[in-house]
Amino acid sequence: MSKSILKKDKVAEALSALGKVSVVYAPVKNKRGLVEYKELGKDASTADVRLDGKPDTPPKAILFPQTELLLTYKKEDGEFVVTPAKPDDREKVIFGVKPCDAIGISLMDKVFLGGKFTDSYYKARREKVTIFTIACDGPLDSYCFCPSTGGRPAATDGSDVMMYDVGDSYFVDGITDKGKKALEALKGQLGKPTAEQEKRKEEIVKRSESAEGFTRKISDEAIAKMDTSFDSKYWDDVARRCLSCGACTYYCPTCHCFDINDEKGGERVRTWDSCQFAIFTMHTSGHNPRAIRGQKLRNRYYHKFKYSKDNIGRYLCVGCGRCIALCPASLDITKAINEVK
Amino acid sequence: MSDLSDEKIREEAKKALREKGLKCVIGWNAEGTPTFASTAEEIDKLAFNKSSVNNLVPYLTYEIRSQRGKTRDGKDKVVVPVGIVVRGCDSKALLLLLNEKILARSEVFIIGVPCTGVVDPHAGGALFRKCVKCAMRNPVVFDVLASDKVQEDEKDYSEVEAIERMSQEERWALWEEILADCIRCHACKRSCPVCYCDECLLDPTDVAVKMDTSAEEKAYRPRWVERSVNVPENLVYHLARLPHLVGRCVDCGECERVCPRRLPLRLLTAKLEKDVKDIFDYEAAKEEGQKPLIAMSCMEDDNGFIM
Repeated sequence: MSKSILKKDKVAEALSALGKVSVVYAPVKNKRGLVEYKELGKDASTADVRLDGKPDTPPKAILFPQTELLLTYKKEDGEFVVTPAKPDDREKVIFGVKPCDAIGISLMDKVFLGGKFTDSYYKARREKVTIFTIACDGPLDSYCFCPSTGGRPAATDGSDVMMYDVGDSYFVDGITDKGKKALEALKGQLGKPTAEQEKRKEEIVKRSESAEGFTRKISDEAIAKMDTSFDSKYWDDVARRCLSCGACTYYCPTCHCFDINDEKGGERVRTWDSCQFAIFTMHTSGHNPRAIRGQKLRNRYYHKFKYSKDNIGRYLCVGCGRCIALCPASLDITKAINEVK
Repeated sequence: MSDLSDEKIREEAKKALREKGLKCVIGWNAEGTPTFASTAEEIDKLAFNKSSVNNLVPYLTYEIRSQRGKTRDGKDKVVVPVGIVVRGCDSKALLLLLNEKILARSEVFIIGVPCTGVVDPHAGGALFRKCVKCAMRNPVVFDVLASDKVQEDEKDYSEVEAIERMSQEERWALWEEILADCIRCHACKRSCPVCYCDECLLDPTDVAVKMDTSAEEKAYRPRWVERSVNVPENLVYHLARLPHLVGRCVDCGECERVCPRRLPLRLLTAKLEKDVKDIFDYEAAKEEGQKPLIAMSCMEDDNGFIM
């Protein structure tokens, strides 16, 4: 069943079938017109699912929630009793993911699972997640630039199942064992592809390889220039209109910085943090090595395109363009890097 | 909105740059991107059109305040004046800063642009909600106007009044739903033209740690807002922001514009503005030299909201 066909009018049925064996998340339009991943059957119904276009938020929070309880503690008879929290480790399918966001998850895996230390909370969740990706056929909007960051519109990294839009159906391809297993739940909905459908899928893959249609780009030469431009005044000029809010980092599929605090009621909580916030790098001495906007923004760009390349071998940007679309100050990471001096 | 006003903006900016020795002129380029023009060539890129969405006043405050300080012999550093292009709503915020003596009138050169509304990029070519009916289309403080004044509307509080008519339960349900959607990215706070404190109680650590801050002070730092993002903490965040804006918020709507969650934050600021009008008969940034509301309390004030 690894190569099959799912008719578009059977998608709702397929989502219900998946829902019988796991929790299903899919992109849904919210009250204010934003498309974001919601748990079907709880926060939304299959009828609300929107598979066209780019969801406004990445699926990051399903694996790495903005607020996560790590443990609780209380004092009993003079002794502290510590109870570790149990992460939500239900079987989950994330359906209708875009290839850039799937790559984003594979990069978070490198951070939380790939190094010297394993994040047990992330791991517990990650092992139970199966990713159904719908390949793009060219850029989804003018903000897309995945080919510049090592991605492709039909890239398969991070995906368990790939789906290709071949007209009135999706061509469905099980990539990993996890994905193939998940497809077993869809026996009633999947059919056999025709030669024409197979051909169409191959055309999408071919177009994806050539990365045609992308006008937004980051040049390799510009990224190479970053090697010698760290001390350039350029970063202060770029950051002159940055407001130092955290919108770009919170909407980024790969930004993963967090903070841990003990909160009221004896709860130790992990929350997202942002390198753009004033005290992100504040030392207890009072010294702040990245106190001004230029330094903070430069750090974000270098983390995306330099440090990550050196440390994990890949850019930590997937070219989704959300930080460009959402920036209150119209900052554009592609322009900022292309014009580096 | 015509090319004529662009020409006028550029002409006046160049003249001021030359004659007043401005550090730069803050404006928008033709794409609506905030731009800092410090040469005649850069000034030629300034424009004003339907894409000029940003309130540029926070940049002005930064450009001026970052020049402040003492010289080695203890004198105040000389502040090089900065130019700015403002719409009506922006000019109200700027006037408030002048009235609060955060900026000095001599430090700014103001090019006013009467405005008939700017376009919400998320609304497919439609105007921002705040621009549909607007009572502050014409700049209230300026050195020069780039075009003729335009017709203004009566202030429209109908959305606020609709919420006032709701029961307490209905209001809570409304705000609970809105607050649940906030991710506390701080964009509303960072973009607010009248928020200028260096330390903020809404920052993750709300005490400025200095060389002489003791370990005890750090350990017992008051934390008004937990970092957890949930309805109660988000409520504290927004409710802490608002009292700091009483009699100060000019309802420019920048917080609502920048919100990546598209939360209707102007429902809060418009209510604030309306209450200040109704209870204290006060309007923020109404005229030059106006005292801040908080400096005008008197025995006759209505205190029904406390007692």
